[in-house]
Amino acid sequence: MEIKEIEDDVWEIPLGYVEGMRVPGRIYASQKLFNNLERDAIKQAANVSTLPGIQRYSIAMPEAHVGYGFPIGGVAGIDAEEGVISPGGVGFDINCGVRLLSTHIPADEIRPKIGALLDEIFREVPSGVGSKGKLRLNEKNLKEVFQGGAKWAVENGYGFKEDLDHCEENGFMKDADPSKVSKKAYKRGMPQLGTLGSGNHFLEIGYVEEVFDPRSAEIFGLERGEVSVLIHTGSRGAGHQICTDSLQILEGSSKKYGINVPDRQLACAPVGTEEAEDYYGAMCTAANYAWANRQIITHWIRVAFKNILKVEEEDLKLVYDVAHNIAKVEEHEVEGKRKKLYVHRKGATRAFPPESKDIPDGYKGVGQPVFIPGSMGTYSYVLKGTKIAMKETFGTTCHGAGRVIARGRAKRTYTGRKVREELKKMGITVRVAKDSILAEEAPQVYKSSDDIVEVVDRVGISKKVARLKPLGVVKG
Amino acid sequence: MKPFEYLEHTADIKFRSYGRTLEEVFSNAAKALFNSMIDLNDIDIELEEEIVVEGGDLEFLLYNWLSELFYIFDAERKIFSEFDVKIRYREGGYSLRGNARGEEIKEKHIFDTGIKAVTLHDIFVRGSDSGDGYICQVVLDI
Repeated sequence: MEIKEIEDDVWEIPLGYVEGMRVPGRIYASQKLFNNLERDAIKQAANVSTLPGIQRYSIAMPEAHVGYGFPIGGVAGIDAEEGVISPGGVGFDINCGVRLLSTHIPADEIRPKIGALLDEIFREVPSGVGSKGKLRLNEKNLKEVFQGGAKWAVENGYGFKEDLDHCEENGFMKDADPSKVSKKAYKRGMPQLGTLGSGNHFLEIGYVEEVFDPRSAEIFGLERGEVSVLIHTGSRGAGHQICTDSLQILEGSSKKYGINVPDRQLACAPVGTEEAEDYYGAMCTAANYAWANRQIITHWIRVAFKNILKVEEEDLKLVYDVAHNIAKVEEHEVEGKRKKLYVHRKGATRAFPPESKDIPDGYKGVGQPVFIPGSMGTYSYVLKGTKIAMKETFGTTCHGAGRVIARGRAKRTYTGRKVREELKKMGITVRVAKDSILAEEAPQVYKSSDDIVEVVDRVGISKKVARLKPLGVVKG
Repeated sequence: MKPFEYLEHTADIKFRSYGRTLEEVFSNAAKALFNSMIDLNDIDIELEEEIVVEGGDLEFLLYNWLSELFYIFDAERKIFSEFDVKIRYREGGYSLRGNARGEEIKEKHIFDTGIKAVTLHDIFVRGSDSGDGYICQVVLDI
């Protein structure tokens, strides 16, 4: 069955592409990105449209690639009264997300000290497989983290009150219910708070290389030539376990409620059932854990900057913190009516417009900041949310570069040493737990963040504000 | 017969494992799980864990078996390279009793890829085409 480009950069997966589709699918992609889009990713976007209660269309962002259940870059708005909620639309790394810190430190000032600064950050922030955190939490503390998120972190000395105003949901979801979290998730959660993890997670020091929208950049506190820090991590073992546990339960409930899903990873439960409510309560606790995690890491990065560059912790300001693996209850307009939806964003970022009640007062004039990290050697982008996103994509835009080359093949094609040398030539210093990670995460294995951002900017579901160039990266 | 192999997958890890019996397939799947993170030869045998899981069908039994092993790895910091598995069918589902042998994570262990979880996506357990054994497939989220 043919997929047609119905508008510039917008492609439609017709009903019937897979059996049981309730709405069509929509892919945001340029011709070039579409040509390289995996068939299985299209199929996954079509599978999502079989979920009961899905509204308008199942959406795939320009970076879409094969995931499990939803494609990565998948979005679904599902009726919050008559639909379902599915952990397959959130993923194992619940509230994996990105935050950006801005400074007024000129990039030139940091270049000679970048090695020392990265070493200090590498020391301050535990990273890599099997790494243990520096915090010693007991079950009671962890319960407070699950409940309080970034607020808990600030109350315990990690960062400033103002940071909370600059987080999606102010850094914690009030629907969190720690009583729905298993002993196993507690056990994994206790030693791992304040750790970066591994895989595609990273800390990146860069600078504002280009400003596209001076007014918005100024409001976000970004000035050309000044240093910024990106933090990309999620809810660690606690979140992964919560998803694993929930799948065990929801797989049963799909059957119990007679919901036929084309992929077992799309296991789901009808909204309002005990299974759905329990998952949502547990998912929110994992989201809070992730916000606490990014907040604690932020604090240690501030300390590292203070130690090496003799600046004040307050000199690193939190621009914003976004979640790109999450389900949330939001109100959207569907066929002329306001409707409550569970918006599932799996590798996609909320991009609310100016005047939205859910964004900080200071940003109401321009819209919500959105961060699109590139790969190790490529640009990252700062975007802003738009009205078009509200109208077209349930207030959502893309989230990142998206892999094109498998890890195994990357390791056979590149060597860690060579990637390190190439990055050095580009002016980028790296610190990693193991050199092979450099090969796995070589810049070439990702789609270009430039191509992806061009599409969302052209379509208007978010607009470019600034471009960041990396100077140094810490990878787990 | 090779015990397991990794298939091309863009963002995650996909593997198949093989065996003459279901027990062997489940044991080889566990090897594939740990081998994706670290060379199995780097794991000494110093301890043993007993694991009991259940599942409504074989796929779910496999998901629960691997998820449990991964939990022990992440929560108790233990890695394994040898497995014995017994699977029993009872009314309404399967139960598995397994022994995993290995050691605690130490300084000498250097890990490759960090795995987040075992997924249910594209998972299957079935008889092999030649009819003389079994085959399973699993996708790991990384």
